[in-house]
Amino acid sequence: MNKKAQIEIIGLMLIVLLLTFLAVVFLRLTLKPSESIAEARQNIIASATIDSILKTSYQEKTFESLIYDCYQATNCNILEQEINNIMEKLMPKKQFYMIFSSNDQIFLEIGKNCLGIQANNPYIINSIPIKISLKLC
Amino acid sequence: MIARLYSTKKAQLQMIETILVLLIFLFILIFGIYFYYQYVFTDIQEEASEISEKQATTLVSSITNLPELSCTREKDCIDIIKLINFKSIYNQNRAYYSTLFKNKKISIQQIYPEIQQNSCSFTNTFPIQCQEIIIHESIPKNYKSKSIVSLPTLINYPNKNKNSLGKVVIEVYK
Repeated sequence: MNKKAQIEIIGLMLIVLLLTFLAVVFLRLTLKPSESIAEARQNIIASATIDSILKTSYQEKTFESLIYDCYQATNCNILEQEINNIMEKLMPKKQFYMIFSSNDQIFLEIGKNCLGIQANNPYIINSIPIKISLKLC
Repeated sequence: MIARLYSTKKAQLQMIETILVLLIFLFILIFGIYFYYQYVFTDIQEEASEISEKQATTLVSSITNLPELSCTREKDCIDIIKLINFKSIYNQNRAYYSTLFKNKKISIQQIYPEIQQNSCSFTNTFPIQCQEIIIHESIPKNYKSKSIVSLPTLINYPNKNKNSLGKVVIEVYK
């Protein structure tokens, strides 16, 4: 009778150990942190791209001037063309979506809207607040 | 006598039963532990890879802010004159830069405006027309994997007072 009881208790203990082990595995799988490093990296790249493009020279001007000209509605074609050219060389075969806006009014869109991480960089160009958003798809 | 024999056989059967149950349980436990640690090991490998990429991303961001290469006035910008002269600094402090950069290939590429496709390893003199300048190259003979991290940057030509668009490219070898 005693031996039977002892065996029963050992059996119960083993079941508890097994359940504890399964619970640990389950928690390990469910509490794994989400992958946000790739997203952070994409954000850094997008932000650095906008910063660099803005200060890049175009003939005797900079892209900052081209953006201002576009805002003034004088000429957006050159800006659009050159940005497409740059993005094709910088990130070949990669889709992007770029928005230029001022006071929440979009004055230029380049590319097609898509799913991806978006960087929003605010600037003051000739006293005008302009926000440039770049989404890398 | 018969009852005793019967009792002994019954006890033996129960012992065998218990042993079999324990063996099966042990087998399931070992099986489970094996697969769990396989999963954990793969997870650790993935984390190591992620950490390596994080380090490469940090390095690529910091290259443009190295005093030996960065522009005087702009942030996240490379001065082309400093870049060309970096060769002599690198050669004088080879051990330091080898420890800093390790098994990587680090290059600065000009993207816009586009120039002729060629690579310079500090053999050309200024002014130069190099699409790519390699500042460090240490590729191990036997490497298991290679990952590439790049970041756009400004390249300043102080003599022309102009900025080009480029990128810092780091190839990490493991």
